[in-house]
Amino acid sequence: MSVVEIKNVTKSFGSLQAVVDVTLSVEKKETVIICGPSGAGKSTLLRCINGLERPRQGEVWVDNVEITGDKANLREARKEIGIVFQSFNLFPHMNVLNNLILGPTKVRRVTKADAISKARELLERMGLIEKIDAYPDELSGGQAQRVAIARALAMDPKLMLFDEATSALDPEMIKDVLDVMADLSNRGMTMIVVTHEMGFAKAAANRVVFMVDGRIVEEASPEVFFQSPQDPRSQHFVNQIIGI
Amino acid sequence: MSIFSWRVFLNSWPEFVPAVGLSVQIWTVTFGLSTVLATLLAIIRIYRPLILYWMASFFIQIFRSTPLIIQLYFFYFGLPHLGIMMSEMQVGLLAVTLINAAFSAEIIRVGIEAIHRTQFEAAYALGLTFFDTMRYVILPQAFRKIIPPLTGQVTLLIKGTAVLSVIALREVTETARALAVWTFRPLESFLPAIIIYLAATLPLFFISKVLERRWARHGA
Amino acid sequence: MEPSAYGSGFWGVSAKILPILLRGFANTLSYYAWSLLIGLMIGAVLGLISSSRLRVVRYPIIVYIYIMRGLPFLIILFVIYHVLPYFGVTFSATYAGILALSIHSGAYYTEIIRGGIESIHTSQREAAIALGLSYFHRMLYVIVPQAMRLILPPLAGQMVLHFKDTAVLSLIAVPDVTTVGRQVMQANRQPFIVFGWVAAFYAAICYPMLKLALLLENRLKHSQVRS
Repeated sequence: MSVVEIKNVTKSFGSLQAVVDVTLSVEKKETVIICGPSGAGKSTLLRCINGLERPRQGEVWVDNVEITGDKANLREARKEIGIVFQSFNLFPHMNVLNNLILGPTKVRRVTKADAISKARELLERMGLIEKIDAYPDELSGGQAQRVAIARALAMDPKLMLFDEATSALDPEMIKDVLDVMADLSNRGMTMIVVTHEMGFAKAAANRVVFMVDGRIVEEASPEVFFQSPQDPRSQHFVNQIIGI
Repeated sequence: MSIFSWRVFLNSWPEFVPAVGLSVQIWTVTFGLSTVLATLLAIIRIYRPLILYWMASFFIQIFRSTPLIIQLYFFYFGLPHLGIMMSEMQVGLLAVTLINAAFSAEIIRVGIEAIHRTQFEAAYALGLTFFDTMRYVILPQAFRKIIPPLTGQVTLLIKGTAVLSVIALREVTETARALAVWTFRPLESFLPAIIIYLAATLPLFFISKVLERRWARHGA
Repeated sequence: MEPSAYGSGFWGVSAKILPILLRGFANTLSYYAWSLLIGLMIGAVLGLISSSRLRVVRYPIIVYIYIMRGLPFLIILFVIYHVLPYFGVTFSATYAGILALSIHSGAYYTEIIRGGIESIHTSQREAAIALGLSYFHRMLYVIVPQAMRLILPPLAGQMVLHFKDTAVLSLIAVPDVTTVGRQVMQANRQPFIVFGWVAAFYAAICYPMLKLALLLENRLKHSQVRS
């Protein structure tokens, strides 16, 4: 049974067609990379999965629950879906610890003590435990993004979504964040990653999905996609990033 | 006749004790109630739930476009006609709460709208309800942003209660006036009132600056 | 209540009281106009000179502003009307009212104008000086036009508050529309009709001004000058 089932989803913003008739499914423990030129609709598709965008047409199913139907289902489903944004979106008026325990205590109704110990565990895994009382504006970009990942993981989700998680980071910090994401993938998390980082795609992905102008053009394993892409547009894209 | 008599001046102060008590009561109760009401109105104005939106907008415009005195008269003389009997204190609290809420609602609305959409997204993505999102994520940030205009509003609240004498409430200003008539020494009678008001409002100007600096650090 | 030629319903009562209320409102407008004129003049003059380097000029202005902003308008009104006679300075209620309105609102206008002028970055001032413009020309052609965008929205808002303050004059028996309204109501015991009309008069002036202030604020956002 797939963790995510996307059926014929279409989403437009006014006259701009962002996502056109996309069908995709993601299995448990899979790491799926979505890539493509700017404006291809990758982020929009990702945001449809956790309900930040509602498709005009089509259905999205997460963990056997249709989130494009009843709004109550969406709220339930969000407990199982973690998302990491390009601009971190940490809550600036709370320190790191509180950012991490807000979700678990208010949504999953975990006791505060349990939430704190889970938060500590996550921060230690990322090497950020000494920042536990710091405020977001005291963190570097790389540290903030890792805290954002920890915040999403603190909810114990079944699925993690990454929306260009490293695009806003300085180059020297990107590796730290990608290492965390790779580690997560190795531990068996189901992940959907929108990214331009092709090195990460080659190393960690089970499947690459290539989108242009809102449609899926090609889907293949990373070996096949990067070595022998079928579609001319994929070939063009891969040629542009050759050497990475 | 001396220009200023310390004896009269010092003897005036005890007269003001009940008035100050009354005023402080009004200021605190009104501030609490109107802030809650104003936050509700601000949220209604942002999310525009059909009928409520027009009601809220109408309410805000009416109370911003008419003087407090007229509102006081409206309630004080009008409510008994409808069979509603309220004490002077209750009428005073009602009118001041409503007008303060109308002004604060706009200030709070601006504060909330200044919070970037992505904060809402991050909160919803965690599964937080609208109520929890507002309570833990949005409103704390919004209130920190609007410290200057909000303290300005509190200052207006403190000064606004001076006219409550029109509905026979013995506020600080009315106490001073009555005392001046009684003692024929207006200077010594009004001076305590002036000192009391300045003691309440001037610190607010400075507290506003301090809070602004402290909370703006971890704002957004 | 004596019956009027139009009956004693809403329109009957209104027809009877409107002439009286309108006369009161005419007074209100007159008090406002005079105090607005004087207040704006005070604001313009003090606002412009408050950027002076002389402390003997700046400090009294700051004290004036803080006192007027820290005290209720009613206190200032009472001081002028009740306390000054004690020192030999007596005013009629009307003059006391206009004077009080002028100097109270004047402080707010000063603060707004001062703030606007000071917000125009020093670099603008220096650029103008470098061009060889005199103080007067600097102010007139460079500083004030830019400051206007920052001044007009809060100024419009303050003018609304100023207008509502005229109602406070009723506490020293000045025949403005609030005083008249209360007298009429006490005679005919129709608070909703009487104060309904009075409220409508105030709203007729305040509501458009509030909308104007909002309009100015929005226009300002789009033509923001960044120094």
